[in-house]
Amino acid sequence: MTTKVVTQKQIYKYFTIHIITTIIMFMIGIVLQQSGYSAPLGVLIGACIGIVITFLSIAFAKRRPDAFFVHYGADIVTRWLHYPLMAFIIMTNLLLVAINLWEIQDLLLQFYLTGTPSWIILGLCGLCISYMARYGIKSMFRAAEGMFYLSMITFIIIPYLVHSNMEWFLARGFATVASVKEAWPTAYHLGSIFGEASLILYIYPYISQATYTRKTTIRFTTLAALMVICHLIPILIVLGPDLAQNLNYPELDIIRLIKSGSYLETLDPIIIALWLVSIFIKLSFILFVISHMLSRILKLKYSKPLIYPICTFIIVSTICLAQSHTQFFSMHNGGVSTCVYISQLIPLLYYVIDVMRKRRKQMEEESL
Amino acid sequence: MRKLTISLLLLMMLTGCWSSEELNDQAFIGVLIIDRNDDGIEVTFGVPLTTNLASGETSGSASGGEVFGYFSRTAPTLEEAMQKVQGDLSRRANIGQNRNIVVGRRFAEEGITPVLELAARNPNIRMNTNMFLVDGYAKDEVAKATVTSERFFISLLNKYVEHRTALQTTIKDFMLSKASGGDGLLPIINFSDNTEGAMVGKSSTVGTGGAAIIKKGKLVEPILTPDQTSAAQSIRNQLGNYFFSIESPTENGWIGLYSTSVDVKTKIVKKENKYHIVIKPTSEVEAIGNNSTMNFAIYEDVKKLEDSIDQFSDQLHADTMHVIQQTGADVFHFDRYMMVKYPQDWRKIKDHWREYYRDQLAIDIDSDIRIRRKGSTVRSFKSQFIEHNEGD
Repeated sequence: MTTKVVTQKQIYKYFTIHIITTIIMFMIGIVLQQSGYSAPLGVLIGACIGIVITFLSIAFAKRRPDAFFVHYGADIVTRWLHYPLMAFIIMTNLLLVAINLWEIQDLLLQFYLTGTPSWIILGLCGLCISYMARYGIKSMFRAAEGMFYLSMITFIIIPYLVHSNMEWFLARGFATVASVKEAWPTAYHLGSIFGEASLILYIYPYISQATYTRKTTIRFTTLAALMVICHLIPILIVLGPDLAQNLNYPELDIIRLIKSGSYLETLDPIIIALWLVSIFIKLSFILFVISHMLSRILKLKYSKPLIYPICTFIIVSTICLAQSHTQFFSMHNGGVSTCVYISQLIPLLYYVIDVMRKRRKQMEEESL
Repeated sequence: MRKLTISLLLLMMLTGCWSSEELNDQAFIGVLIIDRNDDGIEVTFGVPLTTNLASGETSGSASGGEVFGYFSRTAPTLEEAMQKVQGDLSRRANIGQNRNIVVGRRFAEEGITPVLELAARNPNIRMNTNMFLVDGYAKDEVAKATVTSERFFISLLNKYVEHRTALQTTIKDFMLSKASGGDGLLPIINFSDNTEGAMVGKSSTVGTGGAAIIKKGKLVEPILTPDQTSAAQSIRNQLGNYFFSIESPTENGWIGLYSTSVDVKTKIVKKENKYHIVIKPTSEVEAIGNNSTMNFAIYEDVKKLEDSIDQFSDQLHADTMHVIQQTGADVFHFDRYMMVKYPQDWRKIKDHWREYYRDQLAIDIDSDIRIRRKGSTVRSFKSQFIEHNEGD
């Protein structure tokens, strides 16, 4: 029934982009505020948390490699438990998309599209992501393959362009000032983002050569963690921890620090455009997963017709989500990450029950 | 397919509806001048007058009138004053292109923090906006200045920074660290009189001067002399071309030298329970004049000369540091060196860092300057062509 359309290479490229876009676009400010010099350490710990979560869901997915979790989940924990849990996961993912969209419109309004009503921005973004999601699972992974090299180039170029502003003596702080205690809030926040790779569970039957998925997970998590660290370090070395902690978008600010008079001075719109495309890929993937899950729960034949209604729902809830930056962050603090963690660990519950049931079955068979 | 075409066409209609920025509706602020007077804060926007500019260019001369205009208003706060200036402008003030902020002396004495706050918070003002000080009422001095070698006053400021003629201090430099926040040096723009200065014969031409010491956002005495400012530039690794002369090691007379760039390494070390900031300027200089009998072919003499250049450099840097250190303003943010190298001890003294810096921090200068080239001649003109004949 299902075709194995997603290759391991695509998984690798897609999830690298999936993880780094949100972190670099929106989280770097928060991460630096929480951890300062310990932030790179926090990223590493977060990556480890993410790998553990993803490994658990892959291990679970491997038990039934050709069936969809949303289908067989009901057989494991009964329908009465399965549907509410699935609803929770869907809600969390909807919230994730809404949060990301809110941050996109906030950033665009603040810097580039001052005066444009936010619903127009959200509407256009929504249109983009739902179009992509409608083209099916292949579209996101194909797009990620294309974007991958472009974003890698920007990641190498940015540190190079600001290197004249770097104060290398500050690099020593990574060794002397960093501590696990300070790194923990970052690790917790980022762990939930690295853990988003556990969405693999929901598309597992689409993956070709699925036995290599674990190896791929390690590869993309390592690359993503490295990329994030490659961004954090220049920011800390250029701005220093005290200034970096006080900026909402330190990433944009260091791009703007590129030596005045140089023709690359106004590079930030190009970077923003790249970020936007990457984040659209990510959001359309989540949107695809949501529609996929919903269609299976509702026992529909196709998931495509669901995409526009879901997207409209997300856009309306994004508009209602928060009226100001402060309100947004007071809501965003910690709670969302915990929600995401719970939704990522729900499959673990199934896994445990499944293993126990199987064991009991074996014991019963043996006793017979 | 038809649906797609229609929706794409609809998309095209959306662009440009909102957030459109017409070039003809913008007044691009080239320099922001801020002064304090008895009524409050006076904000001045220096704006290139684009309408006059275009006609001036086509006819070959600025016949249409002024090409650069200053618009100013006074109000109790910075923001109110800005709003008032906007009220006088027929176009929308656009600060996104602004690269320079000039403050007057009185404003600096009472604190430049409102400007730092405005610049840091406003997403349109970049953090690498340069800051300058005018030792007087900035608006009056700048507005009456004669700009000769460039078209606009702002181009002068940009060139000073670009060519490292003036010390470069940006908004960012004041907020590099918490313990020494608001400390920095503000380069001074000078306005000449008729007989000396940037362009002799014209009154009030623009030039560079010394630098003012800012502590916690407020100007403190004394003002650094141009020489001391060069030393400060060197400590900040900004010193470009520098001409200087020192006494010849062999005999009375002086030797002229020229350095193209100075590379300075700064570090902190702990010696006998005391922290030392070690500043190590290294440079290669060229001899450009020899008004003594010194012979550049003799290695020992050159060695002696190098030693006296080192001494000269040590002395200049040490004097400058002494002046700055006395004020307690950590303008070079040495605290950051300590923070990363000795984090444990740093925690103990970070709350009274400025006192520690003023009273206990030792600053060692260790110059290492070499003579790279001796120019095109071996012996000096004096010894080769004049003193040679003296016996006759």
